[in-house]
Amino acid sequence: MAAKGGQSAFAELVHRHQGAVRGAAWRLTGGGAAADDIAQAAFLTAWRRIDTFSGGTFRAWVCAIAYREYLQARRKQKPEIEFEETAHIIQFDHAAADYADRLDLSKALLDLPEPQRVCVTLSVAGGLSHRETAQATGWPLGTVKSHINRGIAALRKALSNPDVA
Amino acid sequence: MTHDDTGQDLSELFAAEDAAFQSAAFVETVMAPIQRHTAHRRLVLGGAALLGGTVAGAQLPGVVSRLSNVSVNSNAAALDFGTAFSALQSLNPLWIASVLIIAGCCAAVTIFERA
Repeated sequence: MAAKGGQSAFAELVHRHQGAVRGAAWRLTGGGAAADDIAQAAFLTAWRRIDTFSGGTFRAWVCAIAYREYLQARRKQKPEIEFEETAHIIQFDHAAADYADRLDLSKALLDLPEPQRVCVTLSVAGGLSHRETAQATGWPLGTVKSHINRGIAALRKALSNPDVA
Repeated sequence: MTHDDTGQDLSELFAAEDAAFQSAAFVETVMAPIQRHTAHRRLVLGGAALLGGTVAGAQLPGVVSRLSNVSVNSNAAALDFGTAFSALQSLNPLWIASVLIIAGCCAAVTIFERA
């Protein structure tokens, strides 16, 4: 229905999947303040390209878009890191961030090396298949599987030992 | 493949975390630029179509009278494509431009407008 352009249908999709997409953006940025901007950009891109959605789950599709938005945002922000003192801090939903910050799982995820964090975020949290994760990241399928397996193992280890997380 | 192999248990934990991100304000934030864009597009396309239609409508009486003259002046059976084409050529270019504007608007609406 949303593929035909109904705004109310798309709003329902945003409502239904915002948690997964905002969560994915939050994890990709390592809990950064730009997470909501990335999630919003992902949904807007999804709206513009809804005609290209060709099956699979909407959640996985938007999470893959969020990953591309994250990469774009990171590329844009890199030169500005030196000026971070003067940068305007974007206010966003602190209640959600604070809540997530308290969770051991998120803390453990943030401690993972970035490739593992990305793969676990997209595949385990975002619902992308291994193949979709490989397509989204541009990494070889075997590498993605390896990152996911190591990431899962590291998360389980951290969760079983709360002192580490 | 076991439950552990797929990370299904972790997926459920992530899903529980994601529930904390539910917010009506975020939906409004996402939908606001979409609604603005749609309203702007309708305004532009509607305005262009109205303008084109008005101009074309104003030219219509002249067109009808010219075509009537062609029909009267020529043998009824001999009104062929060449005659009609030359009659079209004699029309006010503004009318042709109006038709093109309307056609362009219709094409734009067909391509970009969503239900």
